[in-house]
Amino acid sequence: MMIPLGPQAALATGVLGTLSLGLMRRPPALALRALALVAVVSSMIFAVWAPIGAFPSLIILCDAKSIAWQCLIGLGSLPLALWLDGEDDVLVALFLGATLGMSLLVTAANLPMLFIALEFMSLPAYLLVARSRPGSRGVEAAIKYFFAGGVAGALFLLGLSMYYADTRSLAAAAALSPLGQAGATLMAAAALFKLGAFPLNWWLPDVYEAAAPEVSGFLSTAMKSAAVLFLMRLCELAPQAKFAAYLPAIGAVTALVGSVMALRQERLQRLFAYSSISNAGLLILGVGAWALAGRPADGVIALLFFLVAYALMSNGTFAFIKYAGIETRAQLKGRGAMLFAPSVAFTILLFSLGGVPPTGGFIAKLLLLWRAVDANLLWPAVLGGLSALISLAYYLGMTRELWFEAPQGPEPKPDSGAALVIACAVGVVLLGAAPWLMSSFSGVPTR
Amino acid sequence: MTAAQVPLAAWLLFAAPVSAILFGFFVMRRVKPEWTHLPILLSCVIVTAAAFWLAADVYTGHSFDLNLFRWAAAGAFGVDFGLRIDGPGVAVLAMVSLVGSLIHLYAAGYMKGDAAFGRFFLIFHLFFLAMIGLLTANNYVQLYLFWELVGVCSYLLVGFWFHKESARAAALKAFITNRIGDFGLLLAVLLIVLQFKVTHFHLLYLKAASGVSFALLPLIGVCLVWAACAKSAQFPLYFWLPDAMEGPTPTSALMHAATMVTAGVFLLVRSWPLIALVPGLPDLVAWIGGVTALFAAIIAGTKKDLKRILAYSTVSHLGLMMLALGLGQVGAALFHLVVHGFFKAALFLCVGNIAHALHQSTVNVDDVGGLHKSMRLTYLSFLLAALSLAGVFPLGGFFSKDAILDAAWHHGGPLALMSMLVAAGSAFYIFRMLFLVFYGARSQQKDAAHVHEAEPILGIPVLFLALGAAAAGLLKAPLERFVVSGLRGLPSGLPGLNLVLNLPGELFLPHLNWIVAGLGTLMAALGAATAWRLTMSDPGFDWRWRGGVAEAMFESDFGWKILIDRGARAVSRVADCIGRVLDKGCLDGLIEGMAGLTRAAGTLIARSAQGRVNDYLWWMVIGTALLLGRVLR
Amino acid sequence: MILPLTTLWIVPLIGAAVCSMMGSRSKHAALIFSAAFLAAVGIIGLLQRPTEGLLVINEIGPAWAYGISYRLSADSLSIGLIGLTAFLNLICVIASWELEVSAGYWACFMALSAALTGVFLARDLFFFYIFWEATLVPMFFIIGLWGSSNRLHAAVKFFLFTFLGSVLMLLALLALVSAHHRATGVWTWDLAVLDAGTLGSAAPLVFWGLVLGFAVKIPMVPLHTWLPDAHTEAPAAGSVMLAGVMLKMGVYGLLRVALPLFPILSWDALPILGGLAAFSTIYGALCAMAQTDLKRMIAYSSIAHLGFCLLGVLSRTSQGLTGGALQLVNHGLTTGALFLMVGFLYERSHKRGLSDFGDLASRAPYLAFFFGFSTLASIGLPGLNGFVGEFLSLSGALSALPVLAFAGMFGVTLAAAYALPAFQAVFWAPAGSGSVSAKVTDLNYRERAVLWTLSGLMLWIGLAPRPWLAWFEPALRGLVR
Repeated sequence: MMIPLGPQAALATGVLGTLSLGLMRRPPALALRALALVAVVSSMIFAVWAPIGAFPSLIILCDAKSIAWQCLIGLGSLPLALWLDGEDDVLVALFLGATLGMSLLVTAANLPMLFIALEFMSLPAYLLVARSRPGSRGVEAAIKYFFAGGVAGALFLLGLSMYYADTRSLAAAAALSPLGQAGATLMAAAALFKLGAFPLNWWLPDVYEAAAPEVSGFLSTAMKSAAVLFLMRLCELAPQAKFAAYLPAIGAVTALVGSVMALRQERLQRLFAYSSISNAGLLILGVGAWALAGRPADGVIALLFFLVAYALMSNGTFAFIKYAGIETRAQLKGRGAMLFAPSVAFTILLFSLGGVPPTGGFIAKLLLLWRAVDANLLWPAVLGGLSALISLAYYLGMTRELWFEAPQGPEPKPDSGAALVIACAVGVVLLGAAPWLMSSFSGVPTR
Repeated sequence: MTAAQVPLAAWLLFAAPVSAILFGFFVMRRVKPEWTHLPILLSCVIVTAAAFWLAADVYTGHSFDLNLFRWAAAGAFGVDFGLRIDGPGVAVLAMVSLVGSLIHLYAAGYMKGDAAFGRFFLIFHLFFLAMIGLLTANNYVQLYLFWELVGVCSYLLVGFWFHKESARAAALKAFITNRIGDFGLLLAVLLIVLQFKVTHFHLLYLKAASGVSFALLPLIGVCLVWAACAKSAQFPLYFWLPDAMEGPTPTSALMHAATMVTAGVFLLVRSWPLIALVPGLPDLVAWIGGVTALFAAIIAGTKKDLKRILAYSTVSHLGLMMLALGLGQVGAALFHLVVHGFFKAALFLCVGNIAHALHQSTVNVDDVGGLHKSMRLTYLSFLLAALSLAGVFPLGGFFSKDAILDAAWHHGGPLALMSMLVAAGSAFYIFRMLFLVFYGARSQQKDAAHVHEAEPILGIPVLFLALGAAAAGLLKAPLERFVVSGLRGLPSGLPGLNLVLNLPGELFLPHLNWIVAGLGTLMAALGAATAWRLTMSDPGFDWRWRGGVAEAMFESDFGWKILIDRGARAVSRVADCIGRVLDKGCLDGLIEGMAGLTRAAGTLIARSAQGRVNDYLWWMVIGTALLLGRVLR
Repeated sequence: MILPLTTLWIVPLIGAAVCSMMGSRSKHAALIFSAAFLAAVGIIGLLQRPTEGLLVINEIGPAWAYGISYRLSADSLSIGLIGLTAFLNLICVIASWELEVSAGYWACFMALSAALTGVFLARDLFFFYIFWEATLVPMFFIIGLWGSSNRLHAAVKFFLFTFLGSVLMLLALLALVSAHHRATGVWTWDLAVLDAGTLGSAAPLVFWGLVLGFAVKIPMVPLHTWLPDAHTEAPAAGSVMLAGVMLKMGVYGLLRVALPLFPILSWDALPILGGLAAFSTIYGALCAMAQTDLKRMIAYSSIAHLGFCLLGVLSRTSQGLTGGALQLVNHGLTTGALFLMVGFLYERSHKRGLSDFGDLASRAPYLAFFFGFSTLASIGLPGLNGFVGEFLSLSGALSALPVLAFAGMFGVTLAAAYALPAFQAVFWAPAGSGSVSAKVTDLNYRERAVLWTLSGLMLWIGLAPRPWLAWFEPALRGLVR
């Protein structure tokens, strides 16, 4: 079982299987869903048992981070796997394809491989967005996404070539001339684009708003996790790169801008898109702090914990949006009493997103800001805290609408998925109420 | 001496009123509210007996000062509560308990039938209890406790008829003015703690007498005087007292004679060993007293409301006591305090009887005249008390006032002149009142024929008080002994108390100085004659100073009231500004504004996301270029 | 050891869980659990009495990552404040007995008590912070769900404003723990171990971060504007807990965290902090004078009261500290009683304005009696509890900060100028044309029992404060300069 490309193989099998089933006139929906689920779950299992080490022949690198991130991607994509429309075999294939791309990204050992994985991840994602919601809105968003993603890919390629021209290396390099610095910076810009850092973030709200909620959940968790590792890998490959010094500032500004912009959003998916930008900002700040602190192994814990918590929170909130069948904040009003248990769960998730103890979101923010404070990044940390405060304004606002205000409009017709919302809420409570989980996390990156 | 040796009488002083009040509150008020006064009157009897018993003890040299329990402690600092039964305390205590009890008895008749009879008696007795506590406190914190309790009870009693707008305003004015004074006492107590680490009178006397100079002593002294000015209605804080007659008449009597206003003078008596050490401060006290006495006497001569005349008269007499204190005549001040208690209570209750007979709550000098025929008992009582007040030989007031006049005479200068003028003024206003109410059949005054004498429960206590006022001159010798035995050596439980203290201030009352006595009597006669001339011999004379500058001046107490009102309004305007404008508008507005600003920023930035991919790409290029520029710099 | 300390916060937490599941019978559960909570405090406080008041009752759990470990400890200060929490919680439950509210109401109160207790127990700063923040959530719901007309805005404002302080405090704590780790190589959040000396030049920044966090809670002018809104909109029992216990967290934080960690810095900061405290006293009193809403007036008076309490604490004298600590209890009782009574008025008439009532002394004599009594306690009448705290606080402050204490005394004096006019307007003045006095019935037996209890305690503390002071004094001895 200890095969280096296990997870990728599982996902690839899933893709191929889906495509094969798709040849049938009426692909069996149940089988497709089962296939997707099995592929994702087995990728996680393979990841846990994967061997540690570099495999130059395969151009892959299996380290603690890649394993952890593989699991993270699995965690982020599980809800979508559970929910996929089994009737649509193409959708399933695109989903598994995107997951496979992420999976490749986290194990890529050199820059060309990173690029291939990046594109492998992105292309199905564009189509997923377009296909997940029928109508022109999805297509429009997908095209925007595609254009912007194309520019990012081009930036990466340009950066790669400059980097190669300087260092004659496609992997790690010690010293960098200005040319190499520029190359590294351009590559980092591509990663920042994927994360939605300010000012490369504008595509993100359009895409998240247009896609189906569960797809937005997938993009904001699995894809974002992969992008974080992508940025970390760049930092590792080019330890001398100067861009890392700017990451905390970029992160802090992104966090602040995301929070501020979310304040006045009326449409929920758009709001959570900005909220995800804000969280991405904190992650960038965390990556910056990690890079500036000399990339300590235990420094990864903060990022990992944040991503785990965020995977639960974001998937949970998008699941609630799908479950309650609502689009705007106004529709939240008075829903609490009608959809009691899921609303309680959603409220917990909101508080967690706002960083209120005792929830996972609090511990996540705490660890991340702590890393920043530890790396003497006081001002970025303060700005990060401020962004948490501002974001709390709309999380509390939504809680207020949900519970304190009188209902408006017709009775909601709940969709499926209440269990998922509740499961996510239980997850964040467990993460937050039990700091001992942190001690188990602390073993992961150093294994 | 231990707690077990404290005489029973000292315990009874507190046990009787406390149990009467508790019994009244929890039992009588529910079961039989109209009988609430019975246990309270019983308690009055017990208290009076106990007070005289203690007075006898002190007279025979058995005064004591004892700590009973530790009230509060923190670290090395602790405050003990105890009892100090000594000369000055017991002298006033005996007067307070006797006068107070008679007023209680009177009140039982006066308040009969009032809807809140029970409430009145409970608060009334609490007022009495507070004064007893004040007089027997052995340290400043304990004194402050009862001092404030006196203030609160007076607030509740002045505002007793709270449906009246004027009663509410007067109560508030009284309490807040007293609070302003209490600020001084609290500060003084805190400074005493800071400077001396102890609050016991006796230990403080010892420290003060030790000859060491204390840096904070002047400030402490000023604060104490400030506090006394508020409580004893001295300039500049006297203005609450004339309004405070809005309460039922027995309240006014108790306040003016026994419980409230005497507290300030008593505070200074207690503090005299400290105050006397501050250079210039006794002079200040004397001047405050002299100025207040004169100025209140003048105003009293211009007022029409009977209770108001008496109120200003109280201010004036308290001023005389302060004058005596300021001149170092502690004994004289105490003597006048005691005598004043009798005649002032009698006068107030006489006015109460008149009001009762007229079925009015306030009586003007215009309202009635010629009462000496229809209300003989009241007239007799009033006459005795008035003569005593005016200082007519051989009534009590003559002796006590003479002691003060004598002191001022020996001091000489403006103070002597002022004291003589006060003597004339006092006689003037009280005779004016006497003539107008009991004789003057002026055209506008109602026929007195339909007015009947008050019933015995109202008449008898007044008569006793008046007799007391008349006979109070006899107290001179015992009082001297009281004061001396009380302040000099105290066998007691406190360390160092057996020392014989050489306290500053003249404790012995001056012997009768015939020149001063003659001059004083002359002045009084002059005042009385003027009153006769203005009221009786020339009924057409406009003695009320209607209209013009004079009336405005007297009405506003020479402008001081206007100033005070303006000040109070200014404070409330400032509060309004801060509470509404600054806090709500500026500070809270700033906070809310920040939130609004953030929201506006959100709207503004989100507007950049118009959904146009060209813009997005430009943003990307600019952002990347900026980062690149920074990195390559 | 009869009961572990954990019991103290677990009992109300279980109570919250049970209440939320009991439906219409949840108030009975709330009553039972709050009584059990009070009993538990009694058992621990009296039978496991913290000798000498030092940190003697400890409970140390396993160490987790980054030196975080579940450490509780209780000294007499903690137990005193937990006792106050439990007592007021029970009072609140009894006082709200006849409210028609859902199970969540009772659950929120129990959860709030659990979190507050945790704050007073935690010795590990991580847990301190967790509990600290956890108090906000139930209070947010209490205000938002059961508050009056403007509750929506007030709830969010309350949460955000106080969260601002907490964020600063958290960053300061993080910096402190990191610095300690850098200097000693040991991760710890243990208050007893942490040494602010490791901070070096960052110490002032960390100190002020902590102080800001606490100052928002106290609240110190100009960080107070959340308080009038929150108090006014919260239901009566919510205001009681808010004023009675939650405001105390700020002073407790100073006493427990900021002063012991930064003894020198806090002394240097005295002119600023003490100045703000004295200013709060005057400012709060002046603001209270301008209010026309009873609850707002009491809310501003809280600012004034906490101001001089803080003066005492900051003076770091034995009197000041002990008096300040006692003042925390006093303020809880007195302001609690006042808020309850305004709540009773509001339940009957749905009005709170000073001009909405009149002549209540004749219509509701019990209410008038208790309101007058509590008002007198609140303005510091000797013989009642307020005076003891006031006297000792100011006495301590006078020796350390004479000018500020003098200024603070002005605020104390002003108390009569807002409390009594308000009392007169509601109880004495004749009922105006728009008055709702006719709807106000006098207190019933349940309400009277609650107020007798509170008044009895006020009188007891006022007449014989010594046992109370002796209870608090040892725990604060270490802070005396």
